Amino acid sequence: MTKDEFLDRLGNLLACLPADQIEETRQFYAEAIADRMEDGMSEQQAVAAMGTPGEVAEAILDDMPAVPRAIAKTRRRSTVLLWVLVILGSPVWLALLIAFAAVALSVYICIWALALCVWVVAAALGAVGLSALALTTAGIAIGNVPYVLAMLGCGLALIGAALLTGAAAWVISKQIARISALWVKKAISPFWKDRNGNGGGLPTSPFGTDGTDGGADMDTTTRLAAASN
Amino acid sequence: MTNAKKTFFAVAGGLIAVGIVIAAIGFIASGFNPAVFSTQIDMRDDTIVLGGTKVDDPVGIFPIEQIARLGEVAVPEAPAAPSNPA
Repeated sequence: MTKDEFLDRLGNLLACLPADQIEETRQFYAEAIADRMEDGMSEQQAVAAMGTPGEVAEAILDDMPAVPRAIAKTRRRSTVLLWVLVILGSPVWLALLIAFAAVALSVYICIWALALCVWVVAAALGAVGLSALALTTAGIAIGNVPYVLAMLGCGLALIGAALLTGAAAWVISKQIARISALWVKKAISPFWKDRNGNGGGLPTSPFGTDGTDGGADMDTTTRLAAASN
Repeated sequence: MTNAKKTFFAVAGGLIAVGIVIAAIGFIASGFNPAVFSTQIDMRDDTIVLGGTKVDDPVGIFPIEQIARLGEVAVPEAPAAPSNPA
C-alpha cells in the first residue's frame, strides 16, 4: 500500500470526524511515514509500520472521550442512524444528561459549602470578639473591673481565634479550588478531553497541540507500531 | 513559611494567649464567679446585667444604649375619633 492510498483510506474511515481533525490526522501520519522513509525504509515498509488504516482509525476513535466516540462510531455507520437515535433516544439521553449535570453541580456546590462554613465560623468568631471588646467599654462605664477584664480577654482571644480560623479557611479554600477543578475535569471527561489526556480543554486527537510529534503522539505511534508487529 | 505568615500566626497566637490570661485574671478578680462572662440585655422588662451587675440606667453607656434602642418600635398614634355631629 502506498502512502497516498493509506492516507486516503484512513481519511475515509475517519469521515465521521470533523474535517479539520481528519486533515490533522492525515498530516500527522504523512509526516510519520516520511520520517520512516528518511530513516531508510521503503514506502511500503513505512506504511506497513503504521498498521492497517482500520487499526489506526480504531485507535484514534478509542482515544476519544466516551460520548464523542459513541457519536463518531454511530455516525460512521450511518448519519441517518445517528439522527434517528438522537431524536428517538432524546427522552432517555436528555434526562440522563440533565441528571448528570444536576449531580455534578450539586457535588460542586457541596464542595464549596464546606469552605463557606469555615469562613462563616471565622466571621462569627471575629464578630463575637469585636462585640466583647465593645462590651468592655460598657464595663468601664459601670466600673465593673472583673467584667472589663473578662470581656477584654474573651474579645482578644476570639479575635485571635478568628484570625487563625480565617487562615485555615484560606488554606481550605485553596485546596477546595484544586479539588473542584479536578472535579470539573472529571465531570466533563466523558464529553471533552484535552490534548494531554488530562480531561478538559480541546477535543481529543492523537496529536500534540502544534500538530507535531508530542508525548501523546509517541504513545499512539508506539502502540500502533507494536500492534503492527 | 514566609515572614508575613510567621508574623500573622504569632499575632493570632499571641492574641489568644493574652486574651486567655486576661480573661482568667478577670475570672479570679470576680471571685471565681462564672457570671462575670455573662451579658444579659432583655428589652422585654428592661433588664440589663453586665457580669452579674444590674444596670439601671443604660443612657450614655456604649454600646448598651445603642442595643437598647434596637428594641424600640415607633408606633404611630391612632387618629382622633370623629366628633358626634348631634
